[in-house]
Amino acid sequence: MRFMLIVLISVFALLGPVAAQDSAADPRASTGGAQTLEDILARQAGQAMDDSFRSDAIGDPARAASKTDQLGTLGGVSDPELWRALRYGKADITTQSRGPAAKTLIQDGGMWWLEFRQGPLLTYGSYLLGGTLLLLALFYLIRGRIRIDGEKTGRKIERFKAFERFGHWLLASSFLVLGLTGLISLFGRKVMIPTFGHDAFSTIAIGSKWVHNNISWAFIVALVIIFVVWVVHNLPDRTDLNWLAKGGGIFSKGHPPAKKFNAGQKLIFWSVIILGGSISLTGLSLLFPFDLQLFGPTFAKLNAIGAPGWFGMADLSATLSPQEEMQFAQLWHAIVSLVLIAIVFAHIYIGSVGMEGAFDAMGTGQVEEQWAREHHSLWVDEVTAQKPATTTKEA
Amino acid sequence: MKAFLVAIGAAVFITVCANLILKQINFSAEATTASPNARVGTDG
Repeated sequence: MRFMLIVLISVFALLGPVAAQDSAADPRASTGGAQTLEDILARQAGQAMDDSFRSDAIGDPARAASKTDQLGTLGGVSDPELWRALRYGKADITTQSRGPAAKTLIQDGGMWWLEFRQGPLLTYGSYLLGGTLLLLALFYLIRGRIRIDGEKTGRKIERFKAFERFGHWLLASSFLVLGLTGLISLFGRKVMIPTFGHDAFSTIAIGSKWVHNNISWAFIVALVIIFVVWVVHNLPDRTDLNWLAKGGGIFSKGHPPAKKFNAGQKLIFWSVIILGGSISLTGLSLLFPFDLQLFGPTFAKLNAIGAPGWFGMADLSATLSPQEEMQFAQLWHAIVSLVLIAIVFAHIYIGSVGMEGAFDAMGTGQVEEQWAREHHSLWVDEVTAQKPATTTKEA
Repeated sequence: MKAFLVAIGAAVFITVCANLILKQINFSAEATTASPNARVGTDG
């Protein structure tokens, strides 16, 4: 009896270290190599993990016993191994449909995109747009309308020629329609379906998509027009520093001197050109799916200069599936558009209710001379010195 | 506001024309992504 007890204690004492060695050597020994509960939880929590134990487990037809042998099989790949090969893009696929994305049958990254698109993108997007409108309303309540300080002269100066105004309004009208139809596409499922129902939303969504896709060309044309016409006047110069330092005179009496465009307007101009250009590029990528690869090559260039490391991140994946390219394009298109819409809200405010006399610049093209002297004094000096007879006239 | 009205007209014109032209030259999103199904052919 004592002997049996000693043997039992010895066996249990030895089992512990042996089991520990096993688990240290193969953490998935308990599941026979399959994923453990920890793996599943880590994946669900979105943690980075080495899942080569799954991606490499796709079978090996070369090792299969011939079907003419005893206990031979019809192949060396089991069903789970085939599904894993499909998931990790390692399966040899032949499809009836053609096209670059036809052979990607399972795409894990799509879930990340879908969750982000349905969650944070909508939440923070609505915060951004709603917050901007709220801030503008508060600003209006605190500051009120920016009036023309001096006495009006009754004389008008031509601020923008007809072609400049045409370019501005072409850009503005197409952008407003693009913004509206884009927001319908982005928020429609969450906001409009509960309100109008599926049938009505279907018609609205199809119409929005057609308009959004086709009016985009008008936006691109207008973007080129305003760039060509106004880029010379929007190059930064010394007066901009002074203008910015004084906050454009928004909260003080008097306005800092400015040329045709002040620093605030230049910021709007370059925001529209850079963000609008970026939106156009990603829009073209979405308009002609899989033709324009933007993000894979960009990520490769960022990796080459070590940009991800500056933020403590690992290298970005430069090898993207066709669907991932589209998903990144969609997210970038939406995020940059939301930012530009917020900026344009501020632009619309200051160009209409926010400032007396500002709308005339784009309405008739003729502005009150006193307004021009207060907001663009250097420009007025320049214009009146060049063409005093034609630029000023009695109203 | 003449420039505004002309711009609105131009936006509509460009929108309609872009759609027609892209469809005409088979360069629409639909045309570039669609492909004949392997099972649907003229030879039956």
